[in-house]
Amino acid sequence: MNEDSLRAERRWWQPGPLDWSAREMVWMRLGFAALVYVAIKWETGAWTTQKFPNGMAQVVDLTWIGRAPPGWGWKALTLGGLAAYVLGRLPVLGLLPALGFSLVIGTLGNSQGAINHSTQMVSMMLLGQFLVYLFPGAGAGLRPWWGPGLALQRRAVYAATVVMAASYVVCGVVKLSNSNFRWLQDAPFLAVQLLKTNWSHYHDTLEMPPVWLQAVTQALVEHPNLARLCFGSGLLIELAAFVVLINRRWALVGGVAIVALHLSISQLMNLNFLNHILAAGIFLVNVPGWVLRKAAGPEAG
Amino acid sequence: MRPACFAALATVWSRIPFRAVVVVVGLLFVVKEQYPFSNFPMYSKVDEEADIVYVTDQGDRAVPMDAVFRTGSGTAKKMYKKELTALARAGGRKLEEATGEERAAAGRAVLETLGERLRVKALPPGAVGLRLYRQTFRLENGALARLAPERLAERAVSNSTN
Repeated sequence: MNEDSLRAERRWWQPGPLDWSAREMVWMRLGFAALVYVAIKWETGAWTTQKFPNGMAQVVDLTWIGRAPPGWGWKALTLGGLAAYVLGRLPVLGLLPALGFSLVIGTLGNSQGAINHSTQMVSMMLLGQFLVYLFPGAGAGLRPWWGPGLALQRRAVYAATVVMAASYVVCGVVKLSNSNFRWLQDAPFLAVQLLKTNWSHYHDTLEMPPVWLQAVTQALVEHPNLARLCFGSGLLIELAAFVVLINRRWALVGGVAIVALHLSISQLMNLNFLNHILAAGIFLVNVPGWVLRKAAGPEAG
Repeated sequence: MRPACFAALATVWSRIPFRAVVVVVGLLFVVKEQYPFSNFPMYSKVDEEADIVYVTDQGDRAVPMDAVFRTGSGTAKKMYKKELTALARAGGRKLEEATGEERAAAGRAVLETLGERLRVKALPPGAVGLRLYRQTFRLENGALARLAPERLAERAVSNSTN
């Protein structure tokens, strides 16, 4: 049974790799390679200690990379590897430097006493794809290590989207479990968080928050149900993020919702979600994929 | 018996909706914060209080933390909480039960770490000292209130830092 007939037989709640074309996956890999490179915090010079070790830093001292930040040689090797990944050649070797730096630098950065959540999802998406290429399994075609076939490339993209969907779902689940399922009821208290993050931003930049933002914060305090509606819709987007795996249209709808969620939180709380927005844009909104399908004609769906 | 058991398990497994997502969500939920894995717990506990940690000069004028320390108030607060949790735990207490002395010690540790990242040139003219403050915001009686800031630590600016 080939991949297309398997896809046709699957129920919507048993998703698998979509029928991404080889060309659109090149665009996805190009976008993701750029995202991975930019997301790595190459300037590691400030991290010469790991006072609160996290992840593998609990068993390995990673401060060497703080004392000797990667130079242009290592960066060029990483870029070269990512270029091979984009072209669909030697993906295991190609992704290895980027994965190594992503994990080591990300772990050391998060071992300074302040856990930042800007790069975990990108690192996990990278790890997921790497593992798919490393363990191609049955039906991966000939020479999967040198040049993976269409089926394996689709599996790698699917792994990235599963990781992304799961990251949003778990974020919603944790909100419910950590609050004893009172999160929606307590959502009006998020107005205090808004006030806090805006003053925090003031101390970062000495720029006062705009007047409209103060008005929004006050409106959320005065109308608790408005706060529940606004923040509750965000929670719903997180909990329902798994729908992006159903088909292209759901991926587009979910991707746009995720991007809108991040943009609205960025405006309200002065937080930076650029990596998450770009990841959703690349794999879910997937503009090049829609353009290529449109150009291919109506039979392409 | 075993093959039948495995077959039954395989059937159950094949019927789980979105099983790949279920597996990864389960993994992230259990592993929590171990880079690169995370359960993304930001804003999962919300209550009527929130606080920030920030730095001023010796005259209580705010300094732009991004430019001066290449890190922000949010990171400073997380560092402070981590230091305070460690100190309170060593004394057999919870974070909320930390003493004033422990808060001051945590503040000193944070200010020392920030000091290692200090760019003197980015400081406002005339700044010769740094103070670390914690300020709490509270929703009480349907109104937002800013409580008086608590000074946690103070230190002189060293000229040897660049």
